[in-house]
Amino acid sequence: MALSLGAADSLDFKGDYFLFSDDKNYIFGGGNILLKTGKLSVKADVLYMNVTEFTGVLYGAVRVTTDEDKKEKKEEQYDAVFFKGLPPQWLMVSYGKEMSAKGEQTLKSLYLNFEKKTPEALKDSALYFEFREFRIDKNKKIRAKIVIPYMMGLPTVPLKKFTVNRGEWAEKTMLAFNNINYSGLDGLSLAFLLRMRQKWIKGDYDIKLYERQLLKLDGAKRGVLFSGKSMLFINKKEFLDTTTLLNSGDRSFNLRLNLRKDFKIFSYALSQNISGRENQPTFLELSSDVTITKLKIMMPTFNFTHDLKRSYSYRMSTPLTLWKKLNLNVSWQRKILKENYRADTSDFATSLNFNSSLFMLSSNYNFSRNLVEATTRKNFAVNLNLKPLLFLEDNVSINLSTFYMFSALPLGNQVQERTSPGVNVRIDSVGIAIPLGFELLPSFTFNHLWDDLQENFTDFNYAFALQKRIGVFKGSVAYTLASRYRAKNFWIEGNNRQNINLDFELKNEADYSLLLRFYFNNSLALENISFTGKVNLPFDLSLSSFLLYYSMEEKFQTVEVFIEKVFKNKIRLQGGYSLALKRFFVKFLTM
Amino acid sequence: MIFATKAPRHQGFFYNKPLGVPLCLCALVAVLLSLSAAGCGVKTEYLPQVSYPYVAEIDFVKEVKNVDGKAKKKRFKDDRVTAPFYFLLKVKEIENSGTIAVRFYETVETGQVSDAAKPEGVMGRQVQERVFQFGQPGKYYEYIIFFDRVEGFSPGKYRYGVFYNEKLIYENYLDVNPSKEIFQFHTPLPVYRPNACYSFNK
Repeated sequence: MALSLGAADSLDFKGDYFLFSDDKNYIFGGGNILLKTGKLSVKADVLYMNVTEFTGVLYGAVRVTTDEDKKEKKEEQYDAVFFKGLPPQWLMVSYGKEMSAKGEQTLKSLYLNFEKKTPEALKDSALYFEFREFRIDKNKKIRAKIVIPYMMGLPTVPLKKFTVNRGEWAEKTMLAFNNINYSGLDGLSLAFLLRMRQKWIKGDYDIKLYERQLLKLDGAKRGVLFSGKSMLFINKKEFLDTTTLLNSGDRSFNLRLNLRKDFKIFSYALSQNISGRENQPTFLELSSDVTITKLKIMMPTFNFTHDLKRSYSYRMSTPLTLWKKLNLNVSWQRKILKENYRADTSDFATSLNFNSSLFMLSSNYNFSRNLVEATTRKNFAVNLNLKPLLFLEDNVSINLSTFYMFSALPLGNQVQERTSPGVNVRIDSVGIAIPLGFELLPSFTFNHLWDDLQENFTDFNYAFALQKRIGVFKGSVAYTLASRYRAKNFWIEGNNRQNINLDFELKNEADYSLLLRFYFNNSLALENISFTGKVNLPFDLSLSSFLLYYSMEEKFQTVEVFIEKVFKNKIRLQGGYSLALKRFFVKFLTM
Repeated sequence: MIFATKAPRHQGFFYNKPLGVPLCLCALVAVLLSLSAAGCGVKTEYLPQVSYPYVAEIDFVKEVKNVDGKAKKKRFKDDRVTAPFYFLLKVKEIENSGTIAVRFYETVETGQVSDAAKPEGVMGRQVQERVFQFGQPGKYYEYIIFFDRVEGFSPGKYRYGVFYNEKLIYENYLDVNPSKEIFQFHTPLPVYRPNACYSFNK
């Protein structure tokens, strides 16, 4: 059915009940729903609508009629009608002995993936609204009638009309109230939007008034934060990008001005950064870039940076595209500092990355000449990683990698050179099933390093975990052993570290999670016992506890038991006892 | 309070207990709301009110048992649904008597019927349904929980719809996974994978 709807600039809904969640930006509706848009009327029983995506579905005995249909007394009925956008596109679905759809076929992905949120989930929001009528326009602004706002789950004063969602801001110059918020960073804040839409300027600024002292937060007591970006125009052409941050609380500011221009062969950018804080000198830095854009295999950039007083640097760099799989970058930089000390360096750097189906290769070479001290610093590194080798239907993977490092560093009048190749091997398994329902999870890593081609270090790390699950119970014993061997002349020095963890876990995600752990140290003696538990109680309460007992010292290091309640996914109230604090406590935490 | 049902043991439904103290609180909130509504010039009868049933929860689990009027669920490992399974449906705000039907449809992904074999626009055929009669005339139920065992599903993607008095109130899709995967190894020890079951008899 091709629905000719006429011009539709809004969706108008009426019904017994609608619920809008401010956090989730989602609407649920139920009972005698009537949707009018353009020349189309839709009657339904249930509505789910995602305001962010501007998508939705109507369920029930959904009757769709156009003005023409009304004259001819025609009415079509479906079980579900999916819609998207404004003017809406429609997909009508019928569920009889066969499930069939007609309408806009591109909406089939919506039909397959549209997420339905229950009223319970929507009521978890700190702020939600119930109402009987609403209009949503293309800016997603929702004006509702007969509205009851709910804050933290409590109904407030019913209103005849209310804009429950302001939607996207209008494209005009204005100062508008944005929100009231609380966070650990800003404290209590009142935010406004300053939108500039003039011939000479386009940009958005946030003006935030914050209060921290009242809530006993550290840092600035209170202040105004002004931040945002804008673009300045001359003769309708983009001229200057600006980024502004002013904070009256800690008396600081940062202003960045960017000028960018693209020509046929090259582009250039000029940037001036000015920042400062009370009792500190103002920082000024000018940076300019010129990039040649027309060459095929390279894109050379020349960069010059100057802080107007103390230092400057210039840099030339280019990526080289010789082959798609090969990334090569070459750069040279001269940096001159005239701050508390004088420095003048000339740096040359290259990096190369190659990615194939069998391996990944990456290398870099850096050469730095200190022109004041007449010294040179060099380093080179190359890494070769083979792609993981998989065995036993991808259950066992072997990772091999090798590396080579070389460095030459000035040390007094001499140069210290160091060459260190190495190899890493890692073998992982997702687990082996063994009789009686046990699972064995082994893993092994091997690292070898020829330090400066003189000393050999070899590390072995073994880990074995044996575990068994019986319903909600999981018991496991995990043994880890780390060994390091160092070859020195004829002798080999070595040391081992080992530990065992014995875990017992009872877990039913909906109800409880209890973990008891015994930790055995290097001597395989019991060192500590810990217990972590959480049990969900009625009325959305939960009982949590943490206990740590030092077996050797025969004392409790900490015991913490508390009851927690989360309000509307925003505030967490905890009350209990802490042995570390040696007192009972009540805490309010924001999420 | 569990209502007697003629359904087989694996099927059932039960209602919530009558409201006690919370009802008083609701009434108090309603009175306060009415007073403030009147103060703002809004007629109480026009205030938004839930009047139509809605699906509050639907879950697909390994087993559901009615233990002392409460649904006791046994979940699948990693919530990986395999046939046979139970569905548990919680519908809220129901008045009077009526029917609730849960209907399952195959989809193209199920692979039972090829795309070419279907008439244009047909996306799948109904493969199973479960219908429940519930309630008594004139009574209000805050919620009713329905559950039943479903079997005979081959692995694949299914669509299901929940119908209240033959009107669709909810629909979504369900992935049914292969129920058992026999793992044959060339090595003596089978390798454990979290998402599969193994037999040692082979």
